[in-house]
Order: sequence, then C-alpha cells, then structure tokens
Amino acid sequence: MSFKETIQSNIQLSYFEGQIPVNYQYTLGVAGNKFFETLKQKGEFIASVCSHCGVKTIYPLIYCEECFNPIDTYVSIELEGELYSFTKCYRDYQGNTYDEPHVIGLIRFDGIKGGIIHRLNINEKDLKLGIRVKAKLKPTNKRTGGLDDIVCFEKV
Amino acid sequence: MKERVAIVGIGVTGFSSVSPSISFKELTYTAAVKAYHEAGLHPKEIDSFITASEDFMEGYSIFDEYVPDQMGAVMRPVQTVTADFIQALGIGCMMINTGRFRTIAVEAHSKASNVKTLNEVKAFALDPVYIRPLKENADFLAGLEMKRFLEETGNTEEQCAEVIVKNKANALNNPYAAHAASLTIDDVLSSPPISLPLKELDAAKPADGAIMIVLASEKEAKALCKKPIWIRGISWFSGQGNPWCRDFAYADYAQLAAQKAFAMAGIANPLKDLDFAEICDEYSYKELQHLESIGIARKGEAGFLTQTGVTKLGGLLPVNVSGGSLGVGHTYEASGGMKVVEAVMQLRHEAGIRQIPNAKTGLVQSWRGVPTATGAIAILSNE
Repeated sequence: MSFKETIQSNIQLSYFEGQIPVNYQYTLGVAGNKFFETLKQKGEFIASVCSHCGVKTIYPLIYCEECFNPIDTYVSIELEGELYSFTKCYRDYQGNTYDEPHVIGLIRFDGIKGGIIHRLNINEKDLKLGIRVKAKLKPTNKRTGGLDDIVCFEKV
Repeated sequence: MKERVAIVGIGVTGFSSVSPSISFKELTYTAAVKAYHEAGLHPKEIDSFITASEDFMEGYSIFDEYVPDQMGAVMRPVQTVTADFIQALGIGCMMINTGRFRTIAVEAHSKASNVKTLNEVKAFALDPVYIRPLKENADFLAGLEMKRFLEETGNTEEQCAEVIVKNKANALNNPYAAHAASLTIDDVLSSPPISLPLKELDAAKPADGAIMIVLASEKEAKALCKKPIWIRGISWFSGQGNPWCRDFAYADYAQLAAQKAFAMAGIANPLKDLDFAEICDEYSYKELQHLESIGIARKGEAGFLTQTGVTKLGGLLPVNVSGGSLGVGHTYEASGGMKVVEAVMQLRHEAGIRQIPNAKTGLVQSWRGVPTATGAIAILSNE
C-alpha cells in the first residue's frame, strides 16, 4: 500500500449501495425487420444475398460482411439445418441454476454463412454434432416478430 | 516500430477476490505510485496517460472522467480505451512513435467485487435481438464454443483440466495470485456444470487489482532504466463479431494478431524463438484454442503438449507461469496487464521461484472475453 493511513479493522469497512434502471428499445433495422416480419407472417427464415460475391448470410444484413457491398436481395431458406455445436446450460442470465439443463445449439443452414443460436428439444441419445434439425415455430396467431417466434429446433 | 519503445516501470497491487478496505481509485493510486517510483518519474514528467476500462464493469458511464486524479493526471492529456490493457499498450507505443510523446503511463484495474450483478453485466454484452432473449447465462457461449473446439480438434475435457491444474499450481508460486490451488484432474472434472462441457473450475474467477506501466521512447528508456523491456511487436484484431458466424475451432483474432506481431518482432518459429508465453486462459479450453490459433501448437495438439509437460514451468515453452487468469484471477480489461507484468518480471529475471532461466523473449496475449472475438498480442524482450 502507498497510503499514510489504512483501514485496520473490519468494523471500519463501509460501502455505498448504488443502482439505476437502464432500459432500451433496440430497433431491428431494415434487414432485421425483414427477417422477423417474414418469420411472423410466412413462417420462413430469410438470408441476405450479396450480388457482388454471392455470399448468403443469416441473420440477414443490408451489407456484405465479406466485400462490404450494399445488399437489397433476400431469399427464403429452409427451416432445416445442421447442428454445428450445442451446450447444456445450467444457469440463467442472473446466475440462478436450473434443475434440468437448457440445451442450446448453433444451427447452420446449407450453403449459408452464419446461423441461428436457439434452444434444442432433442433426446439425449440423439444429441450429436452434425445431426439434421428443424425449427419448430409458434402458431401464426401467436407470433410477435421476435426470436421467441422460434420455439426450438428438433431432430428431423 | 519506428522507434523502439520500452517498459521502464511497473506497478501492481497484487490480486484478491475482494478488496473492501480500498476504493478503485486507491487501488490505481497504489499501482501508480509503485510504477512511477520504479521509473524514477513524477507524474508531471509523464507526457500522456491511458486507462483501459469498460463502463459497465466500473459502474459509471463515461468512466473516462473518473480516472485522472488517481494517476496524477489532473490537467494532463488522458484517454480511456474500452479495450484490454494490451490494446492500450499498443496505443501508447503508437503515441511514442509519433515523436510527440517520450513517456506514457498505461493503467488498468479490476474492481469486479464492486459489481453486485456480474451475471447480468455479462448478459448485457450479448446481442439484444438475436441472443439475449434466450435469457441464458452469458457463459453458455463459452460452452457452445468449447464443445465444437473439442469435437473438431480432438482435444479433450481431461486436457482442459490439465490446463487448470497446471495454471493454478503455477499460481502457488506467484504471491500476486488470488486463486492458486493444488488440484487434481478429478477435482476439475467433477466440479459443478456451468454450460457443459464447461464446468465450474473451467472458468477463471474474478479478482480485484490494479496495474500501471510506464512506457518510454528508446532514448528516454536508456536514460531512465537499467533493464528496459522492449516491445518488439504488438497487434490487435477483431475477428468474426457475430457469434452465430464463428468457426469456434480456432480464434481468428488471435491468429491475425499473432501473424502481425510475429512479423514485427521477427519471430519465425514461436516454439523455438519464444522463452515463455502468457496466454489468455479465461476459460481452460481458451488456452488450448489460443495456442493452436497463434501457431505455437498445431491444430489438435495443444492438449497433448499440455499433458506431456511442454507448457509447464521447465518445459520447452512454459505457458502461464504466472498462473494465468485461472490462477491469478480474471481481471477483465486488466487481464492483459497482469500478463505483461509477469513478462516484465521474467525478462528482468526478477520472478523469484518461478523464474524461467535465461528468459529473453516472451509473448503476452489477451482476449476481451465472452461474447467478443477481439484480442491482442505483444512480444516483449530484454534485448
């Protein structure tokens, strides 16, 4: 320590409590809006397509990550893809533990860059990298245009 | 680099899981006094100051405004970078290379124990539209990456456990370390699950502490210091930002930063040219993934090198002799700083019982943690 005076006793320790609410509205943007509107209305995923280098990307973007070309082309893609990785998550965002783990996976789609990270509902014995999985969506009248319109991914 | 830049003073508080008798400013002040004492400089003789910090970990927005006084930098040019310490060190080097600054002080600290809702702060870093609505703990991204890394490279959970056993044992030799322990592989493998295959002991635990380093131009360094430690290469990169686009098997940011830093420093064969490496091990598997991405180990071989003792103290290339983040503690933006301090002590041959004999050149690496794909590398040398 570099101090002339230091705290020498536990009973002298003190602190000040501080908290402040912070709230946001995150705009989805052009591409995000298109993705979630298509999901809500048609029950489909879309990818953006770069007219310059041909790369298709999910989640869609209005620019190409590879060549920075502006994008205005989108295509519907299959709800089915391949399980790229998964994890059995035992804690929520506040650190509370689950009795049963939530299984979360990264799903890749054929010929598309990127993927979707979402919940899996797959039997333990079938849970392996590389298996084919398909999105289970909420019924049309329950969809709100957000990530939770996807219920989970299941084994095909 | 245009002009060689050296580290001429280090100040470190040591690390602990809590620090209730001292404020974050007093923590920094402690490190600053030590660094200035070593460098033989009063802060008024330092040309500019940099702090590496992240607002949410500090509990202040625009944290820049809360850093000058404890560094002796009131009425002086100060900047805060939202990045790891090694990135701030790189900015310091570039400032000296402009020829307008002779000396720069670089600071980072962790007061993680001040954060009552650390899980929420980590979750707040997740993408609010595409990931955060899942309401999972941010560590799940590490679990997702670890699973793919192990499957694709053939490294194993047991080899990850070897990393933890090694680093926590190394930390027993480091008086600065907060989380040193003598563990067995079984202790690690049987620790509670966080996000499998990631377990409790796979993740570095937070620690409090502060680091200050004084940089100087070559001319100043030779006048100020008997054992200047030269920064021979330094680089940082951001890789694939969106986690759903990542490869997971390797760390693009580490590979890119290594290529650049090695080219600057003239490192052709890292295993031969380096005497030690301080690698980001915020999670056990990251040490293995980083070693392979940097090119110290071939793909799929980092676990084997660990198991066969290549990376232990006394091995061909000791890795995280300090104890790493697993042993010393996870200090967030100060993580790279803790590793730089270790490198300086090794290169000055002042590392005591963990000294690597005849150490001449070392590598330090940082990663900004979940959910980022950003990291930095510096090559330090006493020659």
